[in-house]
Amino acid sequence: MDKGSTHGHHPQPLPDVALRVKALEALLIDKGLIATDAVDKVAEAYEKDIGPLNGAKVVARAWVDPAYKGRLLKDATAAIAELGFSGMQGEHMVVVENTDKVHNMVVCTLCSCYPWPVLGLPPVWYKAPAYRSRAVIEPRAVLREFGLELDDTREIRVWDSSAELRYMVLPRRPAGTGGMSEQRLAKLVTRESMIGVAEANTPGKARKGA
Amino acid sequence: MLDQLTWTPEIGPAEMLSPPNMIRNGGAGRACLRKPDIFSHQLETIAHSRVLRVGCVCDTQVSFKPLTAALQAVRGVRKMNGVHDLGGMHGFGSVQAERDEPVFHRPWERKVFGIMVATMAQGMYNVDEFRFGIEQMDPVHYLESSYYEHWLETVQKNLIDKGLIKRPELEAKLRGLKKSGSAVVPKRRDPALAERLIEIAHKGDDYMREPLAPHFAAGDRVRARNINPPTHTRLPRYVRGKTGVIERVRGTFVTPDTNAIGKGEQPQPVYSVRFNAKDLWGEQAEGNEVVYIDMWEKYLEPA
Repeated sequence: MDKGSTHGHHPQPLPDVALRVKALEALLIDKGLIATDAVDKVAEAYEKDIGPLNGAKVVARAWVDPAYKGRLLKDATAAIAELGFSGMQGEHMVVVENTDKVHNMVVCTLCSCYPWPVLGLPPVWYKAPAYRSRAVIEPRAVLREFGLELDDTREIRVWDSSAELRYMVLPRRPAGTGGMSEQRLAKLVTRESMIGVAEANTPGKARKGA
Repeated sequence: MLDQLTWTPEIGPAEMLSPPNMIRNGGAGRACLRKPDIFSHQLETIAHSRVLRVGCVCDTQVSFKPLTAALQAVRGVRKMNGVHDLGGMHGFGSVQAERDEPVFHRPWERKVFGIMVATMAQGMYNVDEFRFGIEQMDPVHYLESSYYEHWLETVQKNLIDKGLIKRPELEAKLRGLKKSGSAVVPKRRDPALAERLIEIAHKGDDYMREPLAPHFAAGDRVRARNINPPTHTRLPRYVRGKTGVIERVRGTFVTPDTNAIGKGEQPQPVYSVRFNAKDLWGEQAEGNEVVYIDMWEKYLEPA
């Protein structure tokens, strides 16, 4: 889509936005303000290294290690850094715990603030007006669209990331995972469960979305 | 105390809108962003910019010109009850989640992401100026365009406002690319910059400042002030005038309302404030719901 398609001998014009990005990049390179390798490498870091697998490791550790979980809920930034994760948009982390009585979900109604070091860059739905407008006014209806029907007795806590604090949900450990290793547990932790629009997967269910 | 509570983040006359000190002190300033020591020194002087403090990333002498254009642009904008403030709106349909979504959907999104990190991390603008740039988009364009197109708009706007690029140059570049057909972008390598950006991605910034004594404590009832500033704020409309309870003190943070418009960091305590959904949405609220919002002290008054 982004590259000039060459069907036959009539190249399709580039979409305007792609061309505008090229113009900006070319101008900044002409001026020596940015470099191609720098731009590409930092984007690649978020494609390859910085994603929801990081958050899944944090959750799995909290599930198997009560002392770690205690530190995570008390000072999430430091506890997450213990596992080697830190950085932009995760400087001031807060982890909120789901229990049988409480379900947490995270939104940014004003833009799309999101904890990059543990979840990577946000999915399109998280950034789109439907989620941002509705999560605070009808969270249960939103959760139903993700296939999660919450019992009325379970309090729902919505965290609107309006400042520089970044939130991650610690989902409930699924039943039937008593003897599982930390590595296997991490595979049950989806991105959606750490935003709070889903529960973690149960052992029989294929990993999705993360 | 009263002053604090009656504070309104208004735009003053142009001379009150303080551009960075380095500019005020010397007209057009030049910041070498290469050596960490020099960079740090310059950071001291960029007192009003929230920029990354982890060191230098640039091999270039970057010229900053006085922010006249930026300030004029800000003064012309009186519309910050913007479309970006979406909380509680109806009509946007169901949430459409994509299975196995890629990190970037198009090569240009990937480029915009990298350009944003490369320019903001070099201190060319701060995160609040970045967000304010998006909020100044035409509302129809905002809703019709994607997230990374918002980023393209604000990166361009901020670089133009700071005098680092000029709009006619950008337009000329675009015309040239259109004419050429091949749209080839020149390449430039700077491994040191690449390395620094990766380091910054993993280290991050720090938005906290020297702690100030908080006026409120956990358990205090507070009301979100009914303010309608014409410039940037992080106080969502849906909570203004509503009453909640301080959950906890989060620490002292840079204030976005001022940092976005060249009026400095002006740090304040930030609180996590709990609102009952019924107090926000009345009868239409879903049951058994609370909303937590992080709020700067001057957004709040005792209730």
